Amino acid sequence: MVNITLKNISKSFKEQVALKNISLEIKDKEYFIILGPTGSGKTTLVKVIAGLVKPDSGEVLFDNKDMTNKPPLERNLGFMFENYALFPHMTIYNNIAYSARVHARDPEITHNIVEQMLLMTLLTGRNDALPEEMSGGMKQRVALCRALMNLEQTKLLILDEPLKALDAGLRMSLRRDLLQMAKSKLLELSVIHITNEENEAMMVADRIAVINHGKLIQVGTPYEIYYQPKTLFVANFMSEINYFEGIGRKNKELSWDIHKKSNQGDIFFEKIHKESIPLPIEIEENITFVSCVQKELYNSITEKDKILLVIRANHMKIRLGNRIDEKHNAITGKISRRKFMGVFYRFEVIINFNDKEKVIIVTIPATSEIHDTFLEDLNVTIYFPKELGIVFMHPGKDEIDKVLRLE
Amino acid sequence: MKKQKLFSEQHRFKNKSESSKNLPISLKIDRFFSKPIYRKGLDTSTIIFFLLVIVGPVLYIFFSIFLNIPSINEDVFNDELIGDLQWTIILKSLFNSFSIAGLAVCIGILLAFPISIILTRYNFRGKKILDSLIDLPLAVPTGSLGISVLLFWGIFDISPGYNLLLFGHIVFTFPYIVRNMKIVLEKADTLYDDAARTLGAPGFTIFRTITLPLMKEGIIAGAILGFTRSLGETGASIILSGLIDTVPIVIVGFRKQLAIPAASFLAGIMITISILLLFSVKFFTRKVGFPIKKVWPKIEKKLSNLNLRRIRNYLAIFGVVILILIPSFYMLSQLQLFKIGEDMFGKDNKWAFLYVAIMNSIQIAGLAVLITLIFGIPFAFIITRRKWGRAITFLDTILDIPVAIPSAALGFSIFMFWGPQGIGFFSPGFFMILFVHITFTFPYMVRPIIGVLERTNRGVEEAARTLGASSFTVFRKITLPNIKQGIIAGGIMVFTRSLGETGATIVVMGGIRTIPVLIVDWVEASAMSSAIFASFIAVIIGAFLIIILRIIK
Amino acid sequence: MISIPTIDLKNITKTFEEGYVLAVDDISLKIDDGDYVFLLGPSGCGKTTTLRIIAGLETPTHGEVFIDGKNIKGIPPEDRDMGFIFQHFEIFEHMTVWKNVTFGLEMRGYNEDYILEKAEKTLKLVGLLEYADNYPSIFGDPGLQKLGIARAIAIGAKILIMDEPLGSLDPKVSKVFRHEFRNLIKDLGLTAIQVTHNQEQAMAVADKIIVMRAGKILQMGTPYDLYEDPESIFVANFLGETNFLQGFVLKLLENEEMKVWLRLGGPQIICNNLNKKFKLDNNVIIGLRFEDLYIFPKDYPFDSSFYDWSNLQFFQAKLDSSRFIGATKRFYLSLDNGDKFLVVKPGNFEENFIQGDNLIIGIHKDDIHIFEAPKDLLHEISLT
Repeated sequence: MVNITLKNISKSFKEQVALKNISLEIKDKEYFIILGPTGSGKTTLVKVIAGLVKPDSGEVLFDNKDMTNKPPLERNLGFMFENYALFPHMTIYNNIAYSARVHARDPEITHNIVEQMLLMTLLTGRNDALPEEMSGGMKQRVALCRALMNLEQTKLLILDEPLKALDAGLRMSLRRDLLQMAKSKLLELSVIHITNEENEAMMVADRIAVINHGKLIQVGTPYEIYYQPKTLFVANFMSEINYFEGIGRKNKELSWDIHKKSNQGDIFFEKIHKESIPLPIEIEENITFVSCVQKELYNSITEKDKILLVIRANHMKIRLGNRIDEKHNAITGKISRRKFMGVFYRFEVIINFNDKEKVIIVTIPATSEIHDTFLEDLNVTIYFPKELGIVFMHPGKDEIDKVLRLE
Repeated sequence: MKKQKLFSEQHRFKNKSESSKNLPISLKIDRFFSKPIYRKGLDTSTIIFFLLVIVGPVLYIFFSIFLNIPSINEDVFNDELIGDLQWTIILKSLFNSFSIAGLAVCIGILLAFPISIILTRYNFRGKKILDSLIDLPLAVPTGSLGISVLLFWGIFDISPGYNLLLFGHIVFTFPYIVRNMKIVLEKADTLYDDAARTLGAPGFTIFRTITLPLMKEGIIAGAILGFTRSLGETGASIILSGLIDTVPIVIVGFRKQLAIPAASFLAGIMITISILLLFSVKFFTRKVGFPIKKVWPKIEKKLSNLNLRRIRNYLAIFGVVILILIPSFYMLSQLQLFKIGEDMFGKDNKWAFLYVAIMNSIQIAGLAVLITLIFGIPFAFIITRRKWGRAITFLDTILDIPVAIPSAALGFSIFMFWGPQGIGFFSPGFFMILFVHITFTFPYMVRPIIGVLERTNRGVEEAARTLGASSFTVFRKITLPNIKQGIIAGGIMVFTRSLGETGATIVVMGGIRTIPVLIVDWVEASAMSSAIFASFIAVIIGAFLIIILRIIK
Repeated sequence: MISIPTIDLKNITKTFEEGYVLAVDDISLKIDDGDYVFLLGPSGCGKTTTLRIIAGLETPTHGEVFIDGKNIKGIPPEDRDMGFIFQHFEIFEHMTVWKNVTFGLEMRGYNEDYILEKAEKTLKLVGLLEYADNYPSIFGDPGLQKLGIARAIAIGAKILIMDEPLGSLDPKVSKVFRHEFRNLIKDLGLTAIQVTHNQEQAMAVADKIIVMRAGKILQMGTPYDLYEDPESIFVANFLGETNFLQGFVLKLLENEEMKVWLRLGGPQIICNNLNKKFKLDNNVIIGLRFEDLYIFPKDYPFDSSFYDWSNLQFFQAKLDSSRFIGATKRFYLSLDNGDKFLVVKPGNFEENFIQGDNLIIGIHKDDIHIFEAPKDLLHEISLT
């Protein structure tokens, strides 16, 4: 049973700011993902929780008990390091049993537990092997066992990029195993899992915290992060996106009823966007798209502000031909590249508004029909339902460049 | 956007001759020397040099003993006049040398543990200065250190003899031990400490079960180096020994009395023991383990107490200052400037001797650097890059022999090999000193280069080759800039070792003097103030070299 | 006219450690001009060794390499005229960006004007021209790899060889990079070979994929062919996500079809039996792609005026749980016989299912992949 609260945690290394005023709550039995690019401060954050790094300011609470200045040995949580950090001079068995020995637990019980763990991780008989003799997947399992051995009443497991050192294929199947283990009735763990891969995060998380440059940008369920990203950075990090710059014209008359629910809407979207209002956005003089906008944001938008309309590549739809009459939020273009990607087809469509060329990315589920008909150099119409647009205040050209270049 | 072929104007080379037509001359030369036959030639000549100049002379002693069994038997065990007196002297000196070396290394290790941890894991003001001061004795002739130790402990009425010898040996073995421990501590990732901490281990337990076992090889390497350096030390020992004999002193003595059979017998014993030691350590390092399974949480938690740690640190620093730093540099306070003028430029004109000795030392050290460099680089390449299997392991092991054996014994063996009794190539003098110095400094040049070569990224070299660079161009433009540091570090090590060496030089010097030998001479002639002045100059040169080394790092 | 393949490997074998380690086991392959080909397989399958043999960084134990029909045996890497891009970039850190890019050109003895023009053009192409006088230490990983690319393509070689070029980059960065990368290679008209263990990346950018395992080639073809028609369980599992269900042939039907009964009284499914390969009572493995399965609520009307349902066959399953992962949504289901399987639908797939619901699963006959039952299914679907 453990609830973890971080209050205003800041940490700098020399001149380098690693964490900036981070407040966070992680609930009991939650699978919590910390997601961010390399160097965003993820590892420092969990090291603060584990007591390996002392924050410059702020508090760490375990079940409302102040642990900020307690050394790691009083925290009793499991920590699995990136690259595993298995003690190279100890056998697999001694690595796993280390924590029990340090705590002087009963040797016989310890022996039984370790043997059990080896059995469960398919490592029976490898007791006396050294870490250097093991494959990456085996090391990962040993590191996990070693971390689990340290759990007492604080059932918190911290995983620092647990799958990073493995083959891509293996990673996919191990995600499922990790989740299964965390949720098993036997262990009832809270897990904090660091990753830089958005798919991994979505696949296992109960909640996700996105951090970048040491700052907490958004915390939420996978739905919220995906459909209601707070910033362009979050939107872009979760999938390929397209964006348009424009101006909100609340009173603009369009040829179609913008308040009617479009049939490509999304019921999850409705769960999240309880109160959203369709907003016409003028992209160019003769092109206006409509996107639903949260009420608060809607109220703050005026005709002076530039705004940014983001549509995920997989929310774009595509149709042959260049008749846009009965489709809303539609624009014509030409397929310049297409690529089969397994589950999806990915198209780069060049659209041309007012003599400016722009490449729009569209990904759609692969079917044999698409394979046979949507060929390069064909004219197409692309469109999107207004419910799936994401609107931000324009963050400035430099910021957009920076985000899209992933800096 | 049309798919234009941006590089449609590209022209590919149809064949090799066309491509090398426009090459600048330097690349053409590179290509010429990249032919396998030249590489093979270089490899062969390097191996020949290694066997003939480095290993051969050292091992020649056994051959020479074998030839002289009757005369050894006669001189050492059954002399008409003195019976087995020489054998008694040999036994005594062996006991003295080994017990002093053992004690000095043990005390050194005890001090070195906390010091190396302080120097790698703590941050405080003056850390760099402390670090340099500890390294400095490496670059100073041991004779100078001997004088300093003699003068310092003289304050407490400790006169030359066993104890003073021990104090002296602690001073110059300590830097070797600390250095090696520091290297492994720097390499040992704090990641493992962190992992142990999250698993609930207190500080002392982490040190005992994680840090110490990971440091094992460094501790043993440092201990062995310190031990062999202590066994082989001559210059300071002569000054500090009084009536006690150590092995190098006896060898030098026998050599001076021209008791060649006895000298070669003792040199042979020392070389045998050293080589056995070297091999057994290389073999056993892996097998020795630390008990890591049992943990006594209560006691160890108490031992992890912060205050205890602080007391330990202060004690260690105090010990180092009293036992090592002050004795090393005490001499400088005894520098009597007003006497120097008279000593140096008075009727004895000692300056002339000193000047010649300095020039000799620098010339020999410089030439030693040059020659070990020329053969050291290809040798390091052979060790790291050639796939000759066991042969490489063998070369790698015997490379350390010149370091492991006492220099007086080494000098004697080389004297027997090149000198009148052996090949008769040289008689004692400048060139024989040079050859001796090349032999024992060679590993000091090669080891750092092997170190950087092992660390350099082969991928960069492969990248250069795929871009069209021939293997010699790759060496010149890519590898060399990357291993520059190792080469300079090796060069400075060779220079300082050559500059400070006494034992082997005395054996082969003939009429030539180098600085350390001159210092010993002057101490023996009771010209103390001149000896101090000469030491002062040696310290300055040494400090200068250490500073250069630091700047490079 | 028969076109000559740009790269042609004939019976290449490579052993290490005096023959004890067999890295590449008698493989032959052809790569055509202008193709972007991936060598794909788990760690240690021999793909990198194959690549290094082509580049001349390793010598094959047996077999020959032909480039444009010419045997290049014994030609050292510096004379092979191929651009090579490394996983860890291998940038010359002691040289400026400019020097890095001109290195290969200088090695070829081009005149100064040409070098200047070419280096400038290449740097502009990857967007690093403004950094020409800097040392590479100012770059992060993406910048370093851009420089690595510039350096390799500047020499104007027609063949580009890449060893996990995106493997050291952040996953998000590599996902953006890989498309830019492909576009660049296609625009330059290069023949490219890339090694990766990341099947998603290979599917996303390759023209052709060569799947390797344990030193052997399992299958080669376009991503579409491999995906739609995997010849082995390993390939089906490695490229894309597939459910494997065990069963046996219950009945042989007409038109090269058969009825398979899934194990322990599971559903009966009609599959193709091309060339009548399978006999009665044969044990088989059925492979169902996660996204090929349809999923309906129990009371779905199946209105035939809206869609012709006759092409689908149906069976029942129970919903264990579901997860939303952005672009897709995953449903974890189990059959009556206890076998578990997964269905993937687009992220905005509309449903109102609750855990424990009985659902109807649909599958098109042509979407069923059928394999002989291997001795050790676990080994076949392990990704090593």
